[in-house]
Amino acid sequence: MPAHSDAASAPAAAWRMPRWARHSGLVAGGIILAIIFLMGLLAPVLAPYNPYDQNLLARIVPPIWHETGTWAHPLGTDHLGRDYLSRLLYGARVSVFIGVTVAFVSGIIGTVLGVTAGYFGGKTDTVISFIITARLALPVILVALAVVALFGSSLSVVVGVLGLLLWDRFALVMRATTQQIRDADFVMAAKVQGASTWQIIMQEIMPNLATNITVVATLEIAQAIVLEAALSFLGLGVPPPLPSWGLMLAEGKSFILFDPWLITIPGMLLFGLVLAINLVGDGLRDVTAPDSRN
Amino acid sequence: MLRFVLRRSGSALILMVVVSFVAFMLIFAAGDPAVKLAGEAGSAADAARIRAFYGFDQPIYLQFLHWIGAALHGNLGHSLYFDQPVSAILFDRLGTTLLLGLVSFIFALAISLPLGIAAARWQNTWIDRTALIVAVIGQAMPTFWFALLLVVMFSVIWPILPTSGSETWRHFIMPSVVLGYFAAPAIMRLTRSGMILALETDYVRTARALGIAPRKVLLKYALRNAVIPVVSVSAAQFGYMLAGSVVVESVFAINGAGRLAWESILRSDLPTVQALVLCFSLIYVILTFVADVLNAWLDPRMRLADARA
Repeated sequence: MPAHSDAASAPAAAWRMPRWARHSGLVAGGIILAIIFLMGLLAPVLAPYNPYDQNLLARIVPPIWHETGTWAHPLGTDHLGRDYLSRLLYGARVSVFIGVTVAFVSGIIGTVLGVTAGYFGGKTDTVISFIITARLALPVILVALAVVALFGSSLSVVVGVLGLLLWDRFALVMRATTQQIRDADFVMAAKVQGASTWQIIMQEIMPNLATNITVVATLEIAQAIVLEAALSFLGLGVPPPLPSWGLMLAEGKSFILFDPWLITIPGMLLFGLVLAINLVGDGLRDVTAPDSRN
Repeated sequence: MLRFVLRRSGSALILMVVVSFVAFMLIFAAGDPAVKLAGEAGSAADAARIRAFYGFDQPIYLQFLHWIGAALHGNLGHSLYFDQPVSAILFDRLGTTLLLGLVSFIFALAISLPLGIAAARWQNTWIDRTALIVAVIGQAMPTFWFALLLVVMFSVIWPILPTSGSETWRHFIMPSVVLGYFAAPAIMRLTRSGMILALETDYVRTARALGIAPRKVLLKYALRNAVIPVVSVSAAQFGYMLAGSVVVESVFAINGAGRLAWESILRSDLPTVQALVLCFSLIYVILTFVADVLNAWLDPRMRLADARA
């Protein structure tokens, strides 16, 4: 991309949308993401019912676009007569919470390992690279299912096990990036000035990893959300009656023959959320480091 | 080349030992497994009997050596649920899963390679955009939801495919599409970026200048170099696909190792779970090892870099 040298010569005519706004994927993803965030945030205000309230007289009411749909339950009710819209709104909280906390936990583990390996190199690097390879060899879903089964399913167990499993990409990317910059002039300058290793890592290396951390974090948030849904779908994620989208899919599965909307609606939301996060992640990478596209 | 293979098989072996240790330790993750097995109704005496029966009272490293020694002789423990050796059940189920994995992998390659190559060849055209959309959707689609959607489409609305089981080849169509589409985006992205880089190189320009047919330049000169990173990622994706079979086999009720894993976890059949984690991990280690060797064969530079390191 050419430098914006024309901005000085013709300031009025040279107005262009900033690069991030021209990136349609980033914008679209950002909008969807904002909507889902607001859904979760405003769930207590928006939800017409308590998501846990059962009404056995109004079970599997179809959504409004069906002939028998009613405005009392715009998106229908599930097999226990719980309002689907309310459960979906609260479900956004579960997904977003899991995604963000898992990415936080795995981000810390992965960044510490990756930066250590990349900065010190040598034997340290060999050992940490080996740990990363060993982690990659473990089947995530299987280990997560087994651990949740052993500890009993709860939100914190799911966050814990996924956080301890999903740090591999953080570690790989941070290691590679640190290797690239550890011999850069500004690091040398800091060394010459007598900065300690800790100071160099925190003040010289880490700020340069910030964009990559953000990009990997978005990808990991998406992965954690899908995995939570998959675990819940298999009955070993967050426990019912928590309104997790994965759990709703599992509960709706038995009714797909006659009421497929029970799985299409939560699935659409899950798909939309993951798609939006991936678009934002891809877009951020394009905007911040146009060379590393593809 | 031989030195490279020896060196790599050495590290693969160490990796296998570490991974088996993790698989072995899994049952200790949540505290005393004897108490877990005895269940909530079990007394302390029950737990003690279980502890003695499974050797949980021995030091962990001794237990591990016993377990790994037996595993090397093909004895993967005794299934609590089936009350027969794990190996007797496992290998049959593993065959189904590997078959499913293979078919899915072929499907993944069949969509990702042509689309990736075409996207690179006609970069920034509608072909490129379409390939990108296919990849982005595939990345965001939760496998179990995609599986359910296919069931709704092809078994309920338009009933042409069976929903569950693994008796005929038709039973494998939907599961393979689901698993294959899950693995395709990563392969497609790398194929595209590798091809774009290869198409810009001097040797491709030279080949073009010499008047070699464009198709030959694309598929012979460029692809051979572009495919190198694809080999590694394909091996990894194949491994992920096998792990993903846990979900897909559960949805389609396929009697494979993935479904066995899920059921064994629900039944607290720990020896079977251990054996399955071990098998899935070992398959992954072997796959990446094969990919490494294949890469070194494709690209001599990699052999040299490894020897120097």
